[in-house]
Amino acid sequence: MTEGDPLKNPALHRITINGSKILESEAGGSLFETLRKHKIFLPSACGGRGICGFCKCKVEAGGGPLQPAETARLKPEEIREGYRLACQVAFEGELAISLPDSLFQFREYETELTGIRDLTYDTKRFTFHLIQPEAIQFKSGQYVQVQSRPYPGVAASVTRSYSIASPSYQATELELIVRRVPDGICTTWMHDHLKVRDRVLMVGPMGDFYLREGSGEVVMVAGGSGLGPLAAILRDMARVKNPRNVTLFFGAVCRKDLYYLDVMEELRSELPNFRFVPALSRPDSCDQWEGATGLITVPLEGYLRNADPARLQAYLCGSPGMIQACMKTLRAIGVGNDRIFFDPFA
Amino acid sequence: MSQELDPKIEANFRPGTLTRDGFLGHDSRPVFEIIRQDGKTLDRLGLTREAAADFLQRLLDEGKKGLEGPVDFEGRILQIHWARGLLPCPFGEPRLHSKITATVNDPSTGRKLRFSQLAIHLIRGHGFFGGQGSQYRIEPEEVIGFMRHPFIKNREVPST
Repeated sequence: MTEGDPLKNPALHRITINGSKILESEAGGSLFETLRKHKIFLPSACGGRGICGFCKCKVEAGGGPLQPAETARLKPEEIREGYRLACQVAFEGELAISLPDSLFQFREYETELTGIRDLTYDTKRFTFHLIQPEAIQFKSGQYVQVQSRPYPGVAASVTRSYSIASPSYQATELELIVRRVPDGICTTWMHDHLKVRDRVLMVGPMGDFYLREGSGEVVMVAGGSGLGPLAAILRDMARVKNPRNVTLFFGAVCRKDLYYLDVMEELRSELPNFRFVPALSRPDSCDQWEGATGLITVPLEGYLRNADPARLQAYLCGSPGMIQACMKTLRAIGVGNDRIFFDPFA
Repeated sequence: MSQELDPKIEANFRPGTLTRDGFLGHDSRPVFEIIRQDGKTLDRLGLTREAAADFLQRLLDEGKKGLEGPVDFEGRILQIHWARGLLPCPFGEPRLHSKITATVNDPSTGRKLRFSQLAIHLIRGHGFFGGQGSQYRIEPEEVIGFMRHPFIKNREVPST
């Protein structure tokens, strides 16, 4: 990975990774940016702006003084152990850092948008064909970081994380289900400016949200765009005829917020022990809704009365509020934190 | 004495930096001038920024109970949208804020309020109600209107 001889070019500075890998690069920018230039991608939900705290890494030597964003985001014990936020560490001088091996699995993917489908009034599904590399290996449920492009009124790119809504066996195409965020920079770009045949850069796959081994029951709870990755996990299960009992609760306000009912119907025929329970918290009179009503925690509580908390696995994907409410419900009946899975984006 | 923001901090208020539309709308006044003039309005109304923030936070917290569905609360209809991710304060403070937006409708008056979790912090911590024309601008008078409008409970029907 050396780019030149620092003895001949004093402008080159050095990072030693894990005691052996050496990167040499001109000083300037942050450690986060420099690593990215060398195709080492640290997790980030904010694109290196010191907001999310995801890009922490252990700095063994160098790095300069701690920055305010770091004292706010890092725990005292992390700081004592030498952890820093890579986006806040200026790349200059000699740096020695430690990175987990798993980080070297993140790759940058150039993709081309091939399709946009409206799922609801505020949610779209985007389909991307992988250009370079041509295929991606991931676990259904993981996420990628998408880099937006500038558009009228927004001069800079941002990076945002989106869960992959396509199953892992679909290695050459990625689907993302994206709900519009009011005043959101990236969702506005995707919903209003991204066009078929546009090229989009993504980094991944990332995250610990995927189906764990086991024979016990699985309960899934989805809200908003969260149905996407759960449907991906279910499609993987269907492909191998996984016999586990799975119940998926999908919470929405009224019928216009529902989507993928056709996909759920297909899964019902393909998966031997799958049950789909949509629940509307405030159906409109014109919805003619005969299904479950109330907050999603209501049917979830009903289901959990007959579940074995010691063997149940729960997968939650949706708004932070929904996840918090469901976790409270699950913990109340004794499901341990080690059996509840979600991506802590917030 | 006029105060000016550090240019890096000032950039945080502009469209496309932290949010798509930014925090200033079409307001050309410096941020501290916006704060100063809204401060005068608060004094005139007898409202503190803490009281305004407390009231809005109470509405938002009640709205959360609906998990993004409508919530009836004291005659008003609350609804929140809670997206994944966090937003920093444009003033550069390290604390992060949930991406929650709340809408409050009062059917009896037709009044509407729209605000965010971050906006509550900006009011409480900085006395900043947003620039004119900003979609999250809250007029202090609007807050007073919601706070002071009495919720008239159903009158009891006398027994015969």
